[in-house]
Amino acid sequence: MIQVIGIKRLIILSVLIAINASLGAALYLYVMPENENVTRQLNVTRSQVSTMRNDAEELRGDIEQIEDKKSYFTNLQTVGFMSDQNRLVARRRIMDIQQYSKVLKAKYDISSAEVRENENLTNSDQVVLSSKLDINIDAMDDIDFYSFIYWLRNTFPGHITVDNIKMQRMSDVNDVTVRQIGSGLPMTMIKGDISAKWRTVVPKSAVADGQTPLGQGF
Amino acid sequence: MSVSFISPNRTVLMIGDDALYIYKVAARAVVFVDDIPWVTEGFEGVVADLLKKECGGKPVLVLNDMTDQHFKGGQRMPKVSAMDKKNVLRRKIQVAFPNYPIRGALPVKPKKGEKTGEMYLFAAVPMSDQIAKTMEAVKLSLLPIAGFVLLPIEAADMVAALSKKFTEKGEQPSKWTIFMGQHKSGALRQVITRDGQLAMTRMTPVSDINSDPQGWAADVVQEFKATISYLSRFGFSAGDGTDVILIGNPQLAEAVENKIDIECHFRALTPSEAANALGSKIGLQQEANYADVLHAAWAGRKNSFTLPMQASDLDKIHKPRQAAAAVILLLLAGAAYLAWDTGNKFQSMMIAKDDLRIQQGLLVQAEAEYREEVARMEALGYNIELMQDTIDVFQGFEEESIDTLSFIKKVGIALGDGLRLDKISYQRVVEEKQNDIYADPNAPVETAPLVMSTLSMSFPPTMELENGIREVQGLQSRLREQFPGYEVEIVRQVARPEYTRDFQGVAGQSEQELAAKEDYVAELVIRGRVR
Repeated sequence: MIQVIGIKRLIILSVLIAINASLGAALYLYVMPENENVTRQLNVTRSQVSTMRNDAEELRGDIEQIEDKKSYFTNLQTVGFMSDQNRLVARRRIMDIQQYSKVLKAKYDISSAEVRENENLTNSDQVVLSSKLDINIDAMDDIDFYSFIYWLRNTFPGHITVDNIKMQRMSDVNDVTVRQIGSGLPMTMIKGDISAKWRTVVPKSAVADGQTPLGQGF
Repeated sequence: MSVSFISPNRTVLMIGDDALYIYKVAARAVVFVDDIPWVTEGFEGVVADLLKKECGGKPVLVLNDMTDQHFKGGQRMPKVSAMDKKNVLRRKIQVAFPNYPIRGALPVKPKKGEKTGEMYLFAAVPMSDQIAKTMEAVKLSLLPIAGFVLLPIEAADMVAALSKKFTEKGEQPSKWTIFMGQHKSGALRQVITRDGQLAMTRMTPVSDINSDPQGWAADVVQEFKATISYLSRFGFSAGDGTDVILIGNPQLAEAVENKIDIECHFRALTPSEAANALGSKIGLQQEANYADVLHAAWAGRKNSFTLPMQASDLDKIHKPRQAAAAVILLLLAGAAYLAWDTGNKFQSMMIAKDDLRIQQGLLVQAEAEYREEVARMEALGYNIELMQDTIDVFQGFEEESIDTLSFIKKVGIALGDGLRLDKISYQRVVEEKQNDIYADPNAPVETAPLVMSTLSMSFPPTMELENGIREVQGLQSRLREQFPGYEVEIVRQVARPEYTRDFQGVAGQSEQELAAKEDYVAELVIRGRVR
């Protein structure tokens, strides 16, 4: 066969086979795997860059939001929205409101707080504490009663949602009542009931097994 | 055998009776390399050396110009399927020429109006010492073989082309063409065509054109007449039209033409003139009167041969070389493709690497930016999620809260200075969710809190009942103005005049007695959603 096709052709064939093999090996064993590897790395890095930029952008936005909402949030903290509903504080505050609103008497009943999950608080690991607040009020004037409601809404620690109000005039203003008032004796002219929800936000870690936190001061 | 596809230029080995004539055929010239007599010692080696060194290693075309060529015309093929045709044809040639190893079959166009099926011209060449030596020399040279062909058959289309070239426009082409030319061997080769197809060929010794011009002319005329004599057996008639083309010295041609006694179109051309007429070039020739250079040029430049001859001895040399050439070509194509693909992928890899470097730089930059923002965030000391969630929850509570004092203030405005309430109640109505399977699921869900307030008031007994009723109705009207969108209903009117109630009384009582029994209490209900 060599005599027929000649050594020169054989050499050319061998060289060409070697070139093809080398090129094939270079292509399939190095260039293609390396290309895939580099392309994969490139995609991963692009994704990382994009994620990192988004994260930085989100942080930047968060920082701007913080600047905007800082005072709002600080106010919420100040008004006790993030408190554990300390009953002593509540008692002191109701007494203050009673004195300030000039109602004659405010009998209050605060139920034990319930721990409630809120979907808005899932990310920050917080829960809502909710207590039912019932107050019976004796007052001389209906203005005092309304004043009590106003101060309750605006100065009680946390958030107050008034659900029910009942107010009844007990006596008319007549000579007898005027004389009694004039003598300095407190005269209950108005009786009222307020039913409200008292809600605050606390860290989930601060409540054990869904129970109300114990003894934590605000 | 087919035309070599390595190069269009070829070396033509013209096998003569006395020697092997070697021509180098290029695109613009034909160079006579040498003639090697058969008796030369070491013939094969000499020829092989010449082919490799003098001829540039070009593919070799073996052009048989020997006298010993055998033809059998008018071979009819039986009607067989296309699949069997090749085998039947091969068998028929084998039967026609059982002792000649080099054979071929040329399809012949049927005569006009003849419906005789497929006709073939069979050709064969005996294996001679000359052919064996030529094959061995080609084998030794290791050059590719373009083919083994017979000069008369390959020259037939050249003769037809020349005849057509010299036919005047509008003139009927001649049926017969007689081409004559002396070769270097001294023999006169005549190729006779009928309707453009090979009809006959003759190879006869004549005087040398250069050394004995007159003798040459006389010999040519004599051979021409002998040819005409032969042709009459093939149905030759001068009236059908005859072209006579003589290759040689045009000055001697007149002597030949004068002695031709049949009616014909006589043309005398030098080989160069003939080549020019055929649209090719043979270049400057030392011996300008011989016609074999024209045959070498014509056959050597053909893309496909009229009748490539089949021979097992040739195939043994040719097929491995052809296969090797094909493999080389495939490998070249493969290498080219792989190189191209590798180059492309390598380039894209380099681009990807550059991009990766850029992206890595960007990543470092983005990480630095991120760290900066984290540091800023930490410096602020706030948890944005806690902050946002707490604010959202507080605002949610605010949305579901009702501004009770504002509600009561509107009631106060509606009461005015003249009326006062004994009782007021205000309550949020807890709505039960209804599981109505027929309810429209796409209907808007009402989320605003529903409230209900009851207002109770009493009038002094001294007041006229009708006035009290008017006051309550006036209050209802004013409440409606203050609470648009709410229902304001009088659920208890002063003195309760509603027809739905039982009603008793005593006529003839004093006004005081009457007043003591009247009902001076009224109740109104405000109900609606807080907007």
